[in-house]
Amino acid sequence: MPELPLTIAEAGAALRGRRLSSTDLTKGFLERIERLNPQLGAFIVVTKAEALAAAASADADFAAGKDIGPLQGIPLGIKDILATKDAPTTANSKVLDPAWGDGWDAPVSERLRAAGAVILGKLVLSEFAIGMPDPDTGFPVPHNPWNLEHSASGSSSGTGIAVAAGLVLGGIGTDTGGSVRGPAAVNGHTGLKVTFGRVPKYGCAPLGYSLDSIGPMARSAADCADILQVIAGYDPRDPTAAQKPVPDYRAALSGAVTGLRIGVPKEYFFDSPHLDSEVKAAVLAGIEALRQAGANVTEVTVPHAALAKEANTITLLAEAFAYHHDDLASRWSDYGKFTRVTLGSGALYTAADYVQAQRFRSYFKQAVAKLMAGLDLLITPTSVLPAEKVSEIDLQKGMSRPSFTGIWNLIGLPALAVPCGFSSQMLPLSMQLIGRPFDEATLLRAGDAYQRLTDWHLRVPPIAAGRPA
Amino acid sequence: MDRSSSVDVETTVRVLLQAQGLEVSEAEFARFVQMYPLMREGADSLYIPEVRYEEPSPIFTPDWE
Repeated sequence: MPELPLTIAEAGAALRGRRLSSTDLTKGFLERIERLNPQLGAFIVVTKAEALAAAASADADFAAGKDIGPLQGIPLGIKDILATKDAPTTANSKVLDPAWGDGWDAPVSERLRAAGAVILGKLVLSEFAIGMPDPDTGFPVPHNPWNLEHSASGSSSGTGIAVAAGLVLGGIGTDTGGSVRGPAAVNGHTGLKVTFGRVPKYGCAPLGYSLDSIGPMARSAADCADILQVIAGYDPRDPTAAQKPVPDYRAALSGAVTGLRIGVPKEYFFDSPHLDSEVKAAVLAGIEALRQAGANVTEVTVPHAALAKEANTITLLAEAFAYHHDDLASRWSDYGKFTRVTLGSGALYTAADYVQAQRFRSYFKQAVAKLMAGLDLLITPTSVLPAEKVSEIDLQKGMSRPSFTGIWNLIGLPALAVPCGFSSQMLPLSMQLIGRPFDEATLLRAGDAYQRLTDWHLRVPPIAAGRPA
Repeated sequence: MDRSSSVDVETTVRVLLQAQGLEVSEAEFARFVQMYPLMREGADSLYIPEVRYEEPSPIFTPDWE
């Protein structure tokens, strides 16, 4: 077995050059999953037979000269909150009715298969995309591949781990307050939270109806572009799906950032006393690299950013509480201990709190639109800290820290988490690029340009044998 | 006004949870009581002058398509 490729682009070149078959590639990833998943807790279920059948089909297509695009024959994973026809959908919970996702594909799953992807299985998440890992629920407990004692973040923890440890070449996550970007950040790869409505979310168990998004996670921005190309676009089964044309994301990857207008909001983001000094230094160095490559960088202020975090929290918890109301009342102890308290806290808000959060949301959308009138993107840290030690996580302390991710869900903007260094403890660090609505292309172009200058996204944790860290 | 300091937090939290039919353990109740003032403070902080005349988002539409 040759060394497994690190990226979708690398694997695609090997497949098209006949240096590797999809079947051998898939077998290699299945072997790695078998070896590492017991320690890492990334997969809930591995669909081995279906994956090998899909790989054989991709090989037959290649042999017949049929090439349907960059995901043909590529092993991927799907967060276990999206319906897939060949495996149960659990949302990492005993509560979700198994009949809900039984025997059918969500549009995103459907589109990945139609693009020739090889789906290796369903990936671990925080229960219903919220809360903390809970060993008592019987589901695998996710571990950060860079240090097993540290958090893999959430809620798309399984996808974050699987990409970082090379158990898949890419995967699908969902993001309501940072659930794609957090795991991408702490596990050391790229993750794209798409514009609200860019990717149809039908067939995905909801968390916050007006905040949820489904996005790609992979080592590189270029790989995320290839996945987004396949999953983006209108589907009438999602009433919030946008009827907008899907641009050619791969074509946007010019490698150039000359003249790109970048805003750097110091207030709230870089001047926070909670911000880790190594995170701050790495993100500022990342911005400087883009400036030296030709971008124009200016300091800006995001008005009332701290309040946007509150409005996002209220919106998320109120919407999630409405969805879970009946089950929380009748099956409280079937939820994990962290999940039920977090979801139950939605009961403590009033109806007026929710409406006021929506009024703030209107204001904030206009304020950010005004701020970004002369900018292409903003850059902030993705999170205040590198991956925390699980035994030291303090939820109460976490509530009082700033959040750099959820505020963009509040106004539906796209945001890309990009690796930008390592801490002194060898934990990944990440910067966040925030774009204008439906302008994922510019984020991917900037992320890709940065990744042509650096190799942080290609570093592999020592636990994933085959290549040194 | 900081409402969290002028109400009986334990009573309020107990009533709100009971009103929704949530039966929680004493340890969980203590956690809710700990969280409530911060949540209340966050919700109250959204009443700023800039939002005074804003319409809420998202907006309901009566379209059938």
